[in-house]
Amino acid sequence: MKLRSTMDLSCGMREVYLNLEFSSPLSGQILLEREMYLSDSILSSYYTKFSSVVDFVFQNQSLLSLTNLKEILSGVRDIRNTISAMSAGKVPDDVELFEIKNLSMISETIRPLLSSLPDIFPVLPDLSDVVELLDPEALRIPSFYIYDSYDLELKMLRKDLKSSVEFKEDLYYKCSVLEERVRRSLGKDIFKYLNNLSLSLNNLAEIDIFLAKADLFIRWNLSIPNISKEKTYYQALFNPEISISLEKQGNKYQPVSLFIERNSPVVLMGANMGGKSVSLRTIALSQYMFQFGFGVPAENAEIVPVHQIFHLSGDYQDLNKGLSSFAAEMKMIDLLLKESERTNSILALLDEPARTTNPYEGKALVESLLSFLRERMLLTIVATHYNVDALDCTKMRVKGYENGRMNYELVYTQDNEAPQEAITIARSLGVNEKWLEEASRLIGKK
Amino acid sequence: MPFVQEILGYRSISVVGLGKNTGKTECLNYILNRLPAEDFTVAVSSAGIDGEVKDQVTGTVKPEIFLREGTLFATSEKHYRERKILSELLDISYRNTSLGRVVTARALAGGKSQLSGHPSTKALKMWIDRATGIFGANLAIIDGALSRVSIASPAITEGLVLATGAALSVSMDNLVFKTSYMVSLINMERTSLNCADDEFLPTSGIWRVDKCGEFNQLVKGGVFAAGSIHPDDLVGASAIFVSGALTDRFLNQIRTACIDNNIELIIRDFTNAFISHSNYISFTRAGGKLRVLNKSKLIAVCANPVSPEGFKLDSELLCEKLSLSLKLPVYDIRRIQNEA
Repeated sequence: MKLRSTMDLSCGMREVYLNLEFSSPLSGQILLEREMYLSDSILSSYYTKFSSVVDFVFQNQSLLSLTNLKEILSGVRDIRNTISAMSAGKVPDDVELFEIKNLSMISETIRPLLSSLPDIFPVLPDLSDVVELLDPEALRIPSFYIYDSYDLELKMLRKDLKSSVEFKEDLYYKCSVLEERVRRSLGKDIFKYLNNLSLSLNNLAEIDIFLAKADLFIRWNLSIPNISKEKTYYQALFNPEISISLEKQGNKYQPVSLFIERNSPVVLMGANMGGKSVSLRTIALSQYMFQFGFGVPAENAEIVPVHQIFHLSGDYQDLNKGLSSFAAEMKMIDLLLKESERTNSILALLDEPARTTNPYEGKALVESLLSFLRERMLLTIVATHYNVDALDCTKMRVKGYENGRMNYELVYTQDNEAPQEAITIARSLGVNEKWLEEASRLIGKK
Repeated sequence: MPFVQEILGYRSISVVGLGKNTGKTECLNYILNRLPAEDFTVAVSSAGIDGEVKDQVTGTVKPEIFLREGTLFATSEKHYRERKILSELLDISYRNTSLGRVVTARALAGGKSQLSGHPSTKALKMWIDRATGIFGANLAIIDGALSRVSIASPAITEGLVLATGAALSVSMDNLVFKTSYMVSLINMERTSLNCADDEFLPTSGIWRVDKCGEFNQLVKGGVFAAGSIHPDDLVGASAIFVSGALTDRFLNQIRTACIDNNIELIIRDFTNAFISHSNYISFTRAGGKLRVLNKSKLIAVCANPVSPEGFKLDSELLCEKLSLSLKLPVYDIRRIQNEA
């Protein structure tokens, strides 16, 4: 799965991406095409590097050298097309030669800056020969034209051109034929450096991506998770997007802590407005952030990398396809079950499955689903309002209303009974009192 | 040399033609040839995607722009590849236009190149800042297409030179009339309200502006959706800001509300006024205030007495009549060139 395909998911990866401040737009494009990291070993070596980048950025935040590095990186342009056209034998024109000179000069400016740092950043190849080739007069400025020193004949012709009072088109065309000859030979000379140019371009983008991620990591107070094989554990998990908007209003986000184990699906119960959906969304977001190498929004975390993340959220009603919300949901769960036959490397986050049908059947559907997912050893969280009788599940509930305020903390419980707080909450919303009284009376009667 | 001396006092000017074949390019060449040769760098570019060798409407050949050594110029990648000039490439923009990215270069010997433009007013403004700042030009000149297809507005430059000519109308009175209407639009006053910088103002919709410069949206979308402005919404407003084009229909709908409550009508610049002369006159005579955010000082008017069909007006009489009506110096570039 590419980062690009997470952009339209409801868990909020787009917000994460939009908060990255790249120096060069190329880096964003390259990052979007990156595949999710799946294996423990790749993730662990990535995070080892990333944490040293974060340390470096944290220690040098106010230093000129970092600002300087970012400023130089901002000159990097996307010249992947130019490089691939030249490797197919295209003779470069002035614009393309300018681009190559620009890249080589940036690479050569940054290379010594990085050599003083321990192996934190990817190594840049030596492009000093390309710089020399495209800057024959050693001016060390990034502008470019076919310099006089490339060709003696050209130099003489240009002298005539410059000294003539009138513009001589004939002379100009003679010059352009010679210029073409120079370009052709430059193209040949540069050919053997194309791999290094491409490597340099990618590594410069990689450095930019590292710096942007580290910057976000510090700004959002993220942490580097441990990689686990068995269970996922979050201590003080928070949703960065909501947390920032709450802070702006002078409020604080209440973080939650939880375990997810393969042999014991988590059943999440609790009142409406108790933050169940937000927690599921945040867990999905955090899993993606972890596997795309961003760090995670929690104080401490230990996470199992998975191949697939199923996040069933909200209403899937799709009138165009003629599916009711129930049917759409059933199809998605069917897909999850099918996939789970192939692999158990799945994180399943199901927000109130079968919520739109009658409670009798709904309860049975959820209970049986839980036992299937447990048997197949998936990492599962199911949020539900049904009083499910589920064996070997870990039950958690939102603490709920306390002294007129919602406490979003998640606590372990042995109860099968879903907490009954719907009427209390409706009351706090100022809903018609007569109706709620009647509802309370009916409950009392039963 | 007429008006070139005055141009030297500006950091940026645009040369704008009132219509096709009114002699804009000739006017531009005239200025370029007469700027000081020593210790003076000029940067030229164009607003909008223009610059075909042959005029696509009338089929007449357009004069190319001659750039002398040391001149900075910006053009699209396409036109840079087709240039007839020895030049050093200095910079490439990030944004694409339909003719490729915008390339900035310095002429190393005299030669010719087509000029083509920047994708937006903001990009044009940034280029002027770069050219006069980083690249050290003393003056930036923008070849401004006034035809409504121009994407970037020339009104962001400090000064403006207007080219008018017989191509617009072969009746001298009519020509004088049309030109003086355009001049009165160019000379519209800048708003006295303390608005934020143009860059931060909304790019769509119609907005009410309070005394302290606060913006509130009245209508989403353009002036065509504007039947719905309710008088109550305008209570206490100091101005109405139309972010896009101002049309006759909208002006008629809003005119009494503006005049009765002393509300200013603000548009970005004169190129956004798509209103007829009679509506403009009747609005301003009745006390209506039409104001702009960006205003260029009109430096001079150049008149071309020859129409592309070959019709020729009396040059001296034309300049005299225009000058009398506009109260500005008016020049026929060809005539003063021949006399010089």
